[in-house]
Amino acid sequence: MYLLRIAFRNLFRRWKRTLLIAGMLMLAVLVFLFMESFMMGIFDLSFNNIIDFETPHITVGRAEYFAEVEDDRERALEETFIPENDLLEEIRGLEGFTALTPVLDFSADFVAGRYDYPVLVRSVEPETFPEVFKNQDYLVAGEFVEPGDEGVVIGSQLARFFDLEAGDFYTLRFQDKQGSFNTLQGEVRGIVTVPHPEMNMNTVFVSREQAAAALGLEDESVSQLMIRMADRDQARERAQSLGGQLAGSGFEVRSYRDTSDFLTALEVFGYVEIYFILVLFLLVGSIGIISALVLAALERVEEIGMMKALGLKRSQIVRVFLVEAAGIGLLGGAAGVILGLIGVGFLTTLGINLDLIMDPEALGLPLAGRLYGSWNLSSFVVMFVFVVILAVVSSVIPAYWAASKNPVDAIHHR
Amino acid sequence: MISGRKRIGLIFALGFAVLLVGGAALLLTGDSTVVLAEDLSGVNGKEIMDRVDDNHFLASARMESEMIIRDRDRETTKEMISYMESDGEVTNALVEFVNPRDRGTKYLLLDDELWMHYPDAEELVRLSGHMLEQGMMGSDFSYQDALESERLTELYQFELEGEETLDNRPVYLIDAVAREGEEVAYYQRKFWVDAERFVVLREEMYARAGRVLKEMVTTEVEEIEEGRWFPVEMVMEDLLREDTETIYRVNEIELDYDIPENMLSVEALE
Repeated sequence: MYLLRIAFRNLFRRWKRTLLIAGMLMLAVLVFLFMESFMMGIFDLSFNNIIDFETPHITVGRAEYFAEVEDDRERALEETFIPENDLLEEIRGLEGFTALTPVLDFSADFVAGRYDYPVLVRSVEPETFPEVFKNQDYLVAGEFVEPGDEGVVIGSQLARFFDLEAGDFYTLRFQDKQGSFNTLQGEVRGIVTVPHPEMNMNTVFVSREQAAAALGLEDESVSQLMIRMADRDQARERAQSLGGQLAGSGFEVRSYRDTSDFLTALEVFGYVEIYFILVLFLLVGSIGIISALVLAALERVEEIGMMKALGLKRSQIVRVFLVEAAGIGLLGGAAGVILGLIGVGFLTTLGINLDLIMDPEALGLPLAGRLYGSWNLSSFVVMFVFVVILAVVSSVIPAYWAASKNPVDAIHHR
Repeated sequence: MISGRKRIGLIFALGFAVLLVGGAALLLTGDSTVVLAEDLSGVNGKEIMDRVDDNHFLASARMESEMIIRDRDRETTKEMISYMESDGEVTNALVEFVNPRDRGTKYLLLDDELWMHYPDAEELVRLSGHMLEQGMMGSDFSYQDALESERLTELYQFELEGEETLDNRPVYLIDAVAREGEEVAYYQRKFWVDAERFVVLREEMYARAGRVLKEMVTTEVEEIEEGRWFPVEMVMEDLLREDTETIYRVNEIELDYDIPENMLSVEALE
C-alpha cells in the first residue's frame, strides 16, 4: 500500500508529462475503436447489401458456370440446368433455410435511343424472388416484373443514363444458346434505387419465362438457385455442408463471402490498415512511457538512493515504477474507452453521410447513403487491458535501470 | 483507286472492310473463277450465293480503308490498313489503325480468335463472350461480325425469293436461314444480290425472334478485274440504335499481297 501511494503520488508530480503520454495512449484506443466500428459498419452494410440485392446467403450452380463467370467469360448458357426435386429437397432441408428462388442470369446490351450499354440481365421468378431479395422494396417508379411480363425493371442510374422513365420502350440484345443474336423488347416496367450503386447501373430484371424462351432454353432452366438463410452467420457452415452433400454432382455451393471475394479481400486489407495505425500510435505511446520513466528515474536519483538506504529492496523500487507506468496506461486506456464509447455511440446512432467522406463506388464497395458504425464491446475490454499491459511492459527496462543504481552514488551523484 | 491482280479468293476483313460487305459475300471460299454475268434462269439461292462467294474470295490482300462513324451530328473517321490471308478454311487478318487518335491500335483475327492491342495497354486482350457483341471502335459493326469467317453456304440455307429492281439494278432477293445446329450470329439474313455483277447490294440481318437488327447497303461497286465487281463503299446501320450509321470505304486494295511471315501472329502483335 505504501508503494502504491508513492507510485500514485509520482504519477502526478509531473502531471503534464503524464497527461501527454496518457493522451497518446488514449488517442490510440480511441482511433482504433472508432475506425474498427467504422470498418465493421462498412463491411456489415456491404455484405448485407450483397445478400439483399446481389447474391444471397447461399448460391448453388454448376461448377463450370462459376468458373466461366470468374474468368470474365460469358455467362455460359450451356451450364444452365433444370433443378431436380432431390436437389430442391436437399436445399429446403438445410437447418436455417428460409427461402429459395431460381434465377437465370445472362449478359446483354441494353439499347435505347442512340446508345447501348452492357448489362447483366437477371431473369427472375416474380413469385419467389421477393422472399430472397429486397430489390422490389426499393422501387422508385412503376412496379416490379410480373410472371410472363414483357417489361423490364432497371436501376435508377441506368434510367438516368438513357433518360428513361417507367413506360418507355427498351430493347435487350444478346446471344442465345446457339450464339445467334436475339432481342427482348417492351416497356420499362419499373425503376429501382438500391443502396448498391453498381446494381443501379449494371443489372436489369426480367421475367424468367420470357428470358428462357428468348435464350433458346427450356422454360425451367436456371443458372443459379439463390437461397436465403435465417441469418448470415450460418451461411458459410451450411454452404460447406451442402457442398459436401453435392460433391461429385457437378454442382458448386457458394456462400455470400465466396461470391464476393473482392470484398472479403478488401475487408482483410481494411483491418490490416487499422491495426497498422494502432501499432504506430502504440509505438509512440510506448516510447513516451519509456522516456517518461527514464526522465523520472534521472530526476529521482537521490530519492531512489534514499529509498535504498532506508532498506527498500530493488524489486520494491521496480514495483513503484511499474505501478506508475500502469497508472499511465490506466488513465490513457480509460479515457480512450470512455471517448470511444461516446464516438462509437454517435457513429452507430447518427451515422455518417458517405458521400461527404468517400466514393464507395470508386472503391468497389456496394454502399450508398448513410453509414452506421457497429458495436464490438469486446474490443473495448481488449484495448483497455492491452494498453495497460503495454504500459507496464514498456516500463520494465527503465524501472530495472532506475532500481539498479548504487545508493551511495545515487545520493552523492551531484 | 483499286489495283487488283490475278486471282480471286476469299475475302475477309476483320470486322471492317470487306468482311461486312454483305457478310456472306465476304466470307466464303470457292474456286477462284471470275464470274461473269450470264443467263441464270432457273438458278437457286445457293447457286447465286456461290457466285457471290466466288466473286469475293481473296487468298491474300492488303487494304487501305476508312470508317466514318456518324452518331447524330457527330462524325468520326478512322483510317486503317488491313492484311488478310486465307486458305479457304482458316482466315487470319490484321487491322491496324493509322489515324492520329487511334494510331497503333490493332486487331488480330486468327481463325476464330480475336485479339486486340492498344498501344497504351501492357497486355494483349483476347475478345470473348459478351465483349464480342459490342460495336467495334464505336461503330455499327460488332466484333461478332468479324468472327464469322466460315462459309455462309455451310451455315445457312438459301432460298431465292424473287427478282426485283434496286436502285435501277436487277437484283435477286435471297433469304438465308441458319442451318439446324449451326452457331451463327444472325439467325436469318436477306440479301439483295446484283443479278449481273454478283455483288450484295443490300443485306438485312435478323434476330432469332424476327426483328431486323442491322442493315448494310453497298453504295459503290468497282470492277477490280475484268468481270469481277467488288463493293468498295458500304453503309452499315445498327437499327436498334437511333441516328447512327457507319460508312466503310475501301480506298486501296492490293490482291495476292505477299504478307511477311509471322505478321499475322500473336507474337508479332506483342
